Amino acid sequence: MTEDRHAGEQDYAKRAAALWASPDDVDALDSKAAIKEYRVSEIRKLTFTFVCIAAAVLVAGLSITYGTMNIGFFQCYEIIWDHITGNVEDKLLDYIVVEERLPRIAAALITGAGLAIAGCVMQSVMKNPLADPYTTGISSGAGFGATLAITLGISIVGGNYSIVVNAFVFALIPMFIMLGVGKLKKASPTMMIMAGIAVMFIFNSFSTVLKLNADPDALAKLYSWTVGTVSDCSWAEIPLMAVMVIAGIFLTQMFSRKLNILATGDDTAKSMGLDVENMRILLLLLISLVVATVVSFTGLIGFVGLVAPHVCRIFVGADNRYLIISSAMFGAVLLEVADFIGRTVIAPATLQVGVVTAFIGGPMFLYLIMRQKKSSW
Amino acid sequence: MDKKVMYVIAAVAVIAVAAVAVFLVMNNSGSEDHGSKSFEDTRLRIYGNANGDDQIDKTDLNIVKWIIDSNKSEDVTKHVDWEKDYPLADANYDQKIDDKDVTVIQKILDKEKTRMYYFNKYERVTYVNYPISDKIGAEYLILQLLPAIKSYDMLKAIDDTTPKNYSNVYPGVDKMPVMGTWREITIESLSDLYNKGTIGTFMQWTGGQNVDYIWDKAVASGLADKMSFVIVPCQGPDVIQGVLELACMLGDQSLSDDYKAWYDKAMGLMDSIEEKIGSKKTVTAVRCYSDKVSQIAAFGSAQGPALWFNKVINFQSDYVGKTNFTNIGSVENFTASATDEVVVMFQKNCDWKDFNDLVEEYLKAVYGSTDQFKNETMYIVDFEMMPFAAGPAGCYILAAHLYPELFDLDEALDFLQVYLDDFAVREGADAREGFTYTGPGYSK
Repeated sequence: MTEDRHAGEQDYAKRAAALWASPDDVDALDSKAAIKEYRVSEIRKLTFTFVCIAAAVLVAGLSITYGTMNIGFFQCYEIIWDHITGNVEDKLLDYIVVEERLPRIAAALITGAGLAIAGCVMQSVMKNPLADPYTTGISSGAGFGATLAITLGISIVGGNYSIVVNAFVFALIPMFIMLGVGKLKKASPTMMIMAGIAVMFIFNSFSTVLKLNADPDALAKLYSWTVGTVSDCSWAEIPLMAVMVIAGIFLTQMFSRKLNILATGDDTAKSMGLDVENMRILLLLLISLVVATVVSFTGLIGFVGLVAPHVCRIFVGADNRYLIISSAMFGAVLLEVADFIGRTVIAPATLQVGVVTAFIGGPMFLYLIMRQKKSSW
Repeated sequence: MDKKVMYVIAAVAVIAVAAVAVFLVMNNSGSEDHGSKSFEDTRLRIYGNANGDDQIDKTDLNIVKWIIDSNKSEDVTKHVDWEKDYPLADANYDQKIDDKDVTVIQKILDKEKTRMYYFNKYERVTYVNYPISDKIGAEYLILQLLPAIKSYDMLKAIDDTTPKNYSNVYPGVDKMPVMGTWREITIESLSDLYNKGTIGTFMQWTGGQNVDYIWDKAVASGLADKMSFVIVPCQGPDVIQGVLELACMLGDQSLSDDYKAWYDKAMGLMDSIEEKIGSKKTVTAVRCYSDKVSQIAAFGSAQGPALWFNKVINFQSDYVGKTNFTNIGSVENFTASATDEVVVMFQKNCDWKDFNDLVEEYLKAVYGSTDQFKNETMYIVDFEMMPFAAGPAGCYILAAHLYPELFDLDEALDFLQVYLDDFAVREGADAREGFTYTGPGYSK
């Protein structure tokens, strides 16, 4: 009680002083406080972003050195150095570190980043906290493409890439339908996301029909793909995935200010001179290409696209200038940690990365939203 | 002349002529009739098996020498088109026939170390380091090839799925080192077990819709030069290839002799069905793994587990060529589409002694109201037996049900008993109490 009264007296004294101060002095006081608050906020956002980047580097650096084979920490980096300089001494160890561990880690980082920016942009564009590659039907489309290839052997191209190409092409179909609905009807974000959900159900039902009649062996393979894994990624796929995801991060970062405007609502955005419909289509097309590329190689990895942006929003707020890059880095870390756990916890057997993301992402997300106590996102 | 003397002289003459003939066939490199089989009919698809029979022996060596000699001739008409007629003669797989091929075959015969090329399950030419190590890690149910050559004790490591599903069937798998996740086994985990001396050979699962996922990695990492990767068929009638090739790779071709004789006996009988009665019956083939009607599903003729069925039945046209199940899902649909006789693959893992009881319970629950059930024209064999090395016994038993005028069920069950006693790890198992329904009658 005494402390409250004391604080109240101080507050009263400030307000009394302000009454006697000139308007310029009041403005100066408010501006200083605002600037200070702004700087603290900026530092916090930057710090979180850099922590995420550092964590991504650290986790990747550590996980390279751990596996079934007992290869020492420094020995791993020697092997990588020898590989770069062309002095490979042990072909087998070189293969294990450079061809098995590294591409897997790279794929986890790239995929995590790609899925996270997809979720981030979708949530902002759709103004819906539940928007992610799953709820917009992209994953279902990819899943149907893969199901066709695995159960019936129907694929756009043959050979090793039959599943990948099918998944990529079918992943784009829900997005085009959603964009078509948006363009034709000048639909609201809610209507677009509902169209995405409708397409998701259609593709899921097609997939289910095929699964019902599938051979148990094909079902096992399909299930493995559906859960998602980065273990099948090799250096042959990494450049394409990396180019798409880095371009996606770069371009969405470029549009981050416009995303901020878009997030204020269509009417406000229009009054500020933004071509809302075309901007929405452009951004959705961009991130659907990113998602289709990564999921076609890794299968359907859930949760990262949903969770990463929400966790980052807790630390950096809704400002997309920071949210996009920090989500990308946080998604990369999340998926890399999940993969590390998946390949070590029951080694030499592995847990699919998609299972682990749900295991660690779910409780973490629940904890954070309970702590946050926000009534809305 | 005394008649006895004449008989003796005649017998000696016949024996002498036969011996000379055999000698000539074995050693005369100038002979042009080497009786080579077409590649499609060849069951031992290992390079060096020049004549395409079931073993690599001196005959193959002589054929290669003969090809070399013939192709040296200035008379082009004497040249041998070995790529067409003897595609497996190129023992070192360098696309030419020369003394190096002779050396490789000689090393195989002498059980000396050499690289052995073979045409693998995925129709690629890959190699093993002959003779392959008898410390074997097997992925999933390809392990069935080991008891078929009476070498189950060679199994030293397993994938992570087999112990979960089959620890009651294959002794010791639950205590073996794990190589990794089924169909995702890595070079790193295999290297680890190789370095520890646990395994020197890896047998890749080649059933169902698995793909050739590890060979390229094995070559790129150099592991293929250290340990051997055996990628041979293990499902359906092609299982004989796997058995013959595995024994040959191990350097002891006699290991496969008993299984081969057992297999050939049944296949000879199955091949005689069409000769004797014109054509095989067209019969519905379904699986049973649940007591729910919604789970009724028909096999397609090209489905891995159902490949053996093609030996005894013709599939209904709807299912010909299909690699997937067709969900039937109701008694109504089953009644409308199924043939009067039905073969059933029972896919519920259980102890063999419980088999008959479980079959009765499930069939009654699913098919209890159907004519096929009431007439007892549903013929049941176990999934554990049918898709793999025990397939010939499954065929024999089904044939005895479907063609009773041609085959005897008791003999078929005896035939299965031989498998259980000699080619499986099923000590004490009784063919008449499990693996195929032998109860008093499931409709009673």
